[in-house]
Amino acid sequence: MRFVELLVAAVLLAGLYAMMAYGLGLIYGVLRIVNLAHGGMIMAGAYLGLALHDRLGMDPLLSLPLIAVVSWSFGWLLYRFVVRHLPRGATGGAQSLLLLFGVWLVMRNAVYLIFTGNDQAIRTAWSTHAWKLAGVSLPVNRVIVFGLAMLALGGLHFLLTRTYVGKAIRAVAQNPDSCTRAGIDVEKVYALTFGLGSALAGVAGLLGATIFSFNPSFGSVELLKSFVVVVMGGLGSVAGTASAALVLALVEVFAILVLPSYLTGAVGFVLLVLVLVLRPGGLFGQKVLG
Amino acid sequence: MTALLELRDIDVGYGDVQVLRGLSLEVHPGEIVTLLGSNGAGKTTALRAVCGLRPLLKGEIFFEGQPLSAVPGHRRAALGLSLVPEGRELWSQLSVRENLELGAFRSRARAAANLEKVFVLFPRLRERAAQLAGSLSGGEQQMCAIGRSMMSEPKLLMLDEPSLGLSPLLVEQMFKIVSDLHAAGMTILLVEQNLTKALQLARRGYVIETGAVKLKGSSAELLANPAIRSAYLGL
Repeated sequence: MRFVELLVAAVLLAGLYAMMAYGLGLIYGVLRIVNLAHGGMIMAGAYLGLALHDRLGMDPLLSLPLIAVVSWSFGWLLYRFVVRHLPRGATGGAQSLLLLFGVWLVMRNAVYLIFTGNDQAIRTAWSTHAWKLAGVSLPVNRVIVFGLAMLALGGLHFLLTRTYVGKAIRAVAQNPDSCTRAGIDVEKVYALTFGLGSALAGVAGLLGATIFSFNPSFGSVELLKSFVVVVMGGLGSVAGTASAALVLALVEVFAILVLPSYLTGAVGFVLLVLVLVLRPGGLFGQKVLG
Repeated sequence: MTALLELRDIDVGYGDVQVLRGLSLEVHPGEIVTLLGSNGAGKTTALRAVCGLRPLLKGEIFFEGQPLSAVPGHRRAALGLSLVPEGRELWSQLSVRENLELGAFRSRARAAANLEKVFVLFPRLRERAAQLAGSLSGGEQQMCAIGRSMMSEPKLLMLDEPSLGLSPLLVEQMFKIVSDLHAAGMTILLVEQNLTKALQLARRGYVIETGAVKLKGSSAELLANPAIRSAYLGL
């Protein structure tokens, strides 16, 4: 029974990991930029949810669409006014890394200023409930988070594979010049994609905040875990990201059984090193938004 | 009659290297014109400039009499100009159908009808519609690239070395396709290294060297020109 319970816990956690990682992978796949501000977006989503909950009494489920829109807009503006002017690709890595890291630090310190560095949590009527299913306990908040994360990824998969805009995003990732020739405004696609990645981060932050307690450094560990998932899952394939997130969550959850608790945080990175050494193209081979 | 496309005295460069120096040429409606020259003469750069992928340092490009300098690259497809680039540049991880559909990004309302036209023109693409474009053979990729351009309903089709990397049999087929498109009323600007073939197909041509037009004239004149015969045909 303990085994089944851990298995369920891992699956539920994987949903959130997949969502956090997909935002990072999408931006890298299309723009060739590692968005270090991703951690800041995750944190901002959590604090925005906290503010809306504590000050206005908004349930996180109600504030979710609002936070999605706000994070999307923030990402869009960040691209239009900052990221757009940076060099890209092999020669431009350092500039964008430093700048987006700076953006993250500014966000983090702004949150310190407003909310202090104390641990916070979003407590709702459903935070402490659990369903019992065949003797296995299912925490309601984790089930909801998993469901919403799956919904978001499913929606994104639909967008990328079934709509003109989504196909344009994948095409820009593969050959931007061909897109310009075909009449696609590549800059618009970049801004849209940066917005999408940011929205995923913001919403993932909000969802995470209904499960975990958080402070202004929330997002750092999550960013690192997102890296692990992106490297394992390859770029941009929703199925690859979801599978890699599941692998990470399983390894983490089951590590609790055999490792002292202070080491469980490291297993993800051991996994990352192993993947980089043994399968540098990711578990499922390299495919850019295929 | 105004030219469909006119390059008037354009300069284009990459960094410190100037590639085009005062290049001028015209393509009139209904014509098939060829742009010839050796590697590095600036043929591809000229086409990239027409598409808005390289900025002009000097001069102006006109399409149907309208100056293009104020029109960003992604708006030029909707005006009716389309390039089939050298090396095809398909979206290799998208399906053939998706490649074609995205070619109609600016004419989505008629995408289904145009897709049918492309499939009639290239039945092979219909068979391969669900396959990834990167998995096609060279000849099929070239068909897909031409089909993608046709999806945008161009008034001017520019082809950059469509025969490059194809077997002799497929080269024949490719020139037949270009000739058929022209017979169906398409205005074509053809860039080629295969000078004899290109001049057999085109009515007139330009020979460019180090970024400027060195010779121009009817195909018959160019084919008879002793300088061309020695420099490009080895005769």
